[in-house]
Amino acid sequence: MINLGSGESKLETAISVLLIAGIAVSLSLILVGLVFFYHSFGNLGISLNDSSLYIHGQNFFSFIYDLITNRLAQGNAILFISLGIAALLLTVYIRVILSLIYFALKKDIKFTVLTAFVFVAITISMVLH
Amino acid sequence: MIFLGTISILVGFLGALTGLGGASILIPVLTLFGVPIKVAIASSMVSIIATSGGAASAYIRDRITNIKIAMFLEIFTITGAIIGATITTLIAPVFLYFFFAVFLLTSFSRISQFAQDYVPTAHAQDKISAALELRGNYFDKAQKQVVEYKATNSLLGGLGMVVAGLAAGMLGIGAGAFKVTVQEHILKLPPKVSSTTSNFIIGMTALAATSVYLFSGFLNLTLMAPIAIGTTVGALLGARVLNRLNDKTVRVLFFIIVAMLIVQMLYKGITAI
Repeated sequence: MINLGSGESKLETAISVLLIAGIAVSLSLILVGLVFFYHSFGNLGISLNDSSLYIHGQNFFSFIYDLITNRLAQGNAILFISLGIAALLLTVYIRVILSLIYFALKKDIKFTVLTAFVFVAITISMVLH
Repeated sequence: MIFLGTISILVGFLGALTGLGGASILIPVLTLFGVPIKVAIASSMVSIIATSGGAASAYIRDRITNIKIAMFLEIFTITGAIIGATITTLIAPVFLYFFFAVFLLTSFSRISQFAQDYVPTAHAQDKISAALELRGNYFDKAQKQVVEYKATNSLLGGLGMVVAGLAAGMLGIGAGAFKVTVQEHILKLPPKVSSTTSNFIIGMTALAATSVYLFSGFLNLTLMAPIAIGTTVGALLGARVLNRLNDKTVRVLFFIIVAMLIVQMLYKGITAI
């Protein structure tokens, strides 16, 4: 049997499952958030002027930390929409970690280094901004 | 949000049909309704992860996407995306309208790619592409055979990807058409591998740019929620209809939409001066 693609079928299968699961979870959380939003406000209006409806002044990890420590207890619309957005971003981030572990276990030095570069660059950007 | 969700379904549908992607159409539409361009760019960026990820999952499963080539090119696109998103947070909004219009013009390069069959060329690999084993194969359902390919000009292609990432991060779009052009014409990859690998890279590029926008205060939750759901549903519907349309219809649709978006962004830019 011919090994199609880039020849990394195990990683390809894992990433395919991760992406579809991550997106399904993310969109489900956002949908639940919208139901809560309608229940709380009686409408689904867009607000461009309410600063509480913006994510600001946080890097990725402080955004996740804030969700867990401060907003989790609230159980409101903003929490679920924020969780959905976080799940979406985490899906892509976990994809890099998964690839890094895969290439490291496979002892593929070249792609471990390449993936590590992507992981470090994206992590620095998530921490610094 | 219901209105925006409906618009997003339509936009996701048209984005999938034309290959432009949802955000390229959505951002000009959002600015038409008075959303500040920086908020429109940042909020659309998140939806790109959802729409590209869904399609990417299917393409990887079909073994068309080359993840090794994708991971090599991601080094360049995320660098560009971080720089691009940082520029957007710093410059005056009026420039973004003109940059957006100019970048939409580059989408026309895709017109020549519709209905183009891949003809393998006997090119030699450069040293980096050979060392990284940037090659692969896939089963082409139309040709009913396994197509072998190998990448070349990897550094020049990487440079092209920095530009693609820069535009993507700066304008909140996937820059898929530009990425496909680089992969086909510089890296010499087959169109199907180019478009699916580009789709895979788009998610990582969007994450890099979003990491900048998280801090900037342009991510609006009431915009992101309906956009993410709407564009994903629209893209799924568009992918189902795409194979039933002939190339001429897709070309005409593509030309009309891109021309309208360019006019809209130029108009907004000129009136904002």
